[in-house]
Amino acid sequence: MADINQLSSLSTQELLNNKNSKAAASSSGQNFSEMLKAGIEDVNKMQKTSEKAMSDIATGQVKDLHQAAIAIDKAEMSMKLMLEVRNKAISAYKEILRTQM
Amino acid sequence: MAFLSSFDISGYGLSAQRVRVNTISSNIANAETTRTDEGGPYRRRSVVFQAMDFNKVLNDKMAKDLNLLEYSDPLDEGHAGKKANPSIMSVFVDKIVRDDREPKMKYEPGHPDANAKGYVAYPNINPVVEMADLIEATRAYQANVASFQTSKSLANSAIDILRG
Repeated sequence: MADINQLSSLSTQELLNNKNSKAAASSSGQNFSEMLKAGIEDVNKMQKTSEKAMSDIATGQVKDLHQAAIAIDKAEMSMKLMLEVRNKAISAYKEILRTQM
Repeated sequence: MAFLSSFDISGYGLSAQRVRVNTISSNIANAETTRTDEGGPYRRRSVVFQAMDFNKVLNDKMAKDLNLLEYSDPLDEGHAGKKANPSIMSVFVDKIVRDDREPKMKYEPGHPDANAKGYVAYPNINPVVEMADLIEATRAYQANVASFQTSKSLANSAIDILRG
């Protein structure tokens, strides 16, 4: 996942100094949408691993049952985290939409 | 995702304990076996575990960046070293060793594997010891499951912070 410490550079003062938002994005290295995309790709990878684990159980190819269980649990946790981040992002977006012009 | 790495540490522990359970089962199953591929009666096996750096990069960085106190060595043993190295370790099965104790000799002249004096070499396996080992391995497996469940509930509560 992206370095969460990069978020700290997104202070208000810095945003005021760099009125050009493009410059702000490049100074933090990675913009938010790229970070989100990388996170979702991570979740997708884990979902695929978990799917494979489940089909391995079904076809009797699994060597250790707990490894399948761990893969499935990992996918579950990363999915939960992704959903919560999505909820946060959407609620922030809605908050901005409500701004009075 | 780094917050899921504790799942893998427990996973390695579970795999190691499963190998141990398999080895003990093999000992119990072959407690009366007189013929093997290697020749002679079956010999008892046991596993040797080894700790491994779970995440070498992280461990090296922690040892370098964190200003840690030295390990105390009150008895001046010295063999463990005093340099603080808070490595996060996982476990794997290093090897499966063979116990080359003398076999138990039983007088059975009619047995096809009997020697010239009529004695048959049986494996020197004590089923009581094996059962005790099996219980220990089972409990160790359960302990790993418990630590897995704890790390899962920790991750769950961390995600719950976002919800609040």
